Amino acid sequence: MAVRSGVVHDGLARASDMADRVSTPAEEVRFRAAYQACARPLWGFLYRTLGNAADADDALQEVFLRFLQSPLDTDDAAQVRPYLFRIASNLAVDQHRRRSREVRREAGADALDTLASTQPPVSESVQRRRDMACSFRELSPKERVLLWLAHVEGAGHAEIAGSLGLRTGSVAVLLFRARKKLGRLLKGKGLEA
Amino acid sequence: MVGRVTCEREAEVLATARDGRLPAALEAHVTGCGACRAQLAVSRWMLEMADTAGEPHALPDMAAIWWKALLVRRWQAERRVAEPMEAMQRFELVASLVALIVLLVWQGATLWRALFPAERAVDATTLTRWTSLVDVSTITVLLPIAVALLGVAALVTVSRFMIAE
Repeated sequence: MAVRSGVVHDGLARASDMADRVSTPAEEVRFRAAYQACARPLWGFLYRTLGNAADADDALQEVFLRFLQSPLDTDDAAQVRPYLFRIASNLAVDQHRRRSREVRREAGADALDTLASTQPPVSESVQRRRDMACSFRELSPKERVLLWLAHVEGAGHAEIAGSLGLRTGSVAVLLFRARKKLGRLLKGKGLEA
Repeated sequence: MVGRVTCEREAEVLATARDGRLPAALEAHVTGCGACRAQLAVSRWMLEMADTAGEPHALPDMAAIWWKALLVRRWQAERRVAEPMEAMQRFELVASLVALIVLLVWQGATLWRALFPAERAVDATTLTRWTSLVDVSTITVLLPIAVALLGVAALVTVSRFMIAE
């Protein structure tokens, strides 16, 4: 028994050493640089996609945890930023689905609307942007991230293609379709882009 | 295929839209180009929607995320180390059960006689058949115990080796 507990202890101690060795100072510097450059825009994307600051905070943490689990081999911000947006987009989809299921289970199908209406009062411009975000959330996850990267982040087609695993030639077509869909959505609501 | 999807000045229009006002020449182009007009309208709409200026918010602490990541890594490394040990524990359980079954089959008659002496007369035929299969002696009792001890020693050695790897 003593032999066994000794073995377990040795193993766990070695595992801790291994984990400490994996995190190098260079990696920490890379993480900090990525966080400082991308956290705010990522949070904005997550906030608009999820519609809730607390969920956006959780998702942002998860994005960087996943980034540290499988980091890119480069420090190039042009590659890191779209990569982070890709993780964020996937997470946002998961979280939104989970949350919708929970809310529906707890309080019925119209609970999401109730949840939105119980938020504290805000200025007219903030409310207008929140309403705009509701329309944005009606797009598919891929359309959302495409439009965000192209129009908010100013990413080029090649950059978007690289981060989302698409062909560069397809990005223009997908963006065109996403814009059309957004236009139809806004028209249907009496709003025009 | 889907009509005119892009314009060669699209990137220029997008970049300028992000900065603010369009120069007169570009504005004239946008007026006459449907693709660029749509781009610009969507761009302005997206930029307005994305703006969170009226909603100040403190981001999660960077240091906390870093330490959380380290903890997750440590936990995963520990899980990796513990996996072979857990597999060994399962294997040990199965091996013990098998050893117990073998022992019962092998020494069942002896145990039966030791536990229920009165049955000896009743079911003598069965017992004779059982005992005729093996030589009931000291060695047949000690052998399974020795095998079990050797098995445990082998398991400890193997698990030590796997952890060292």
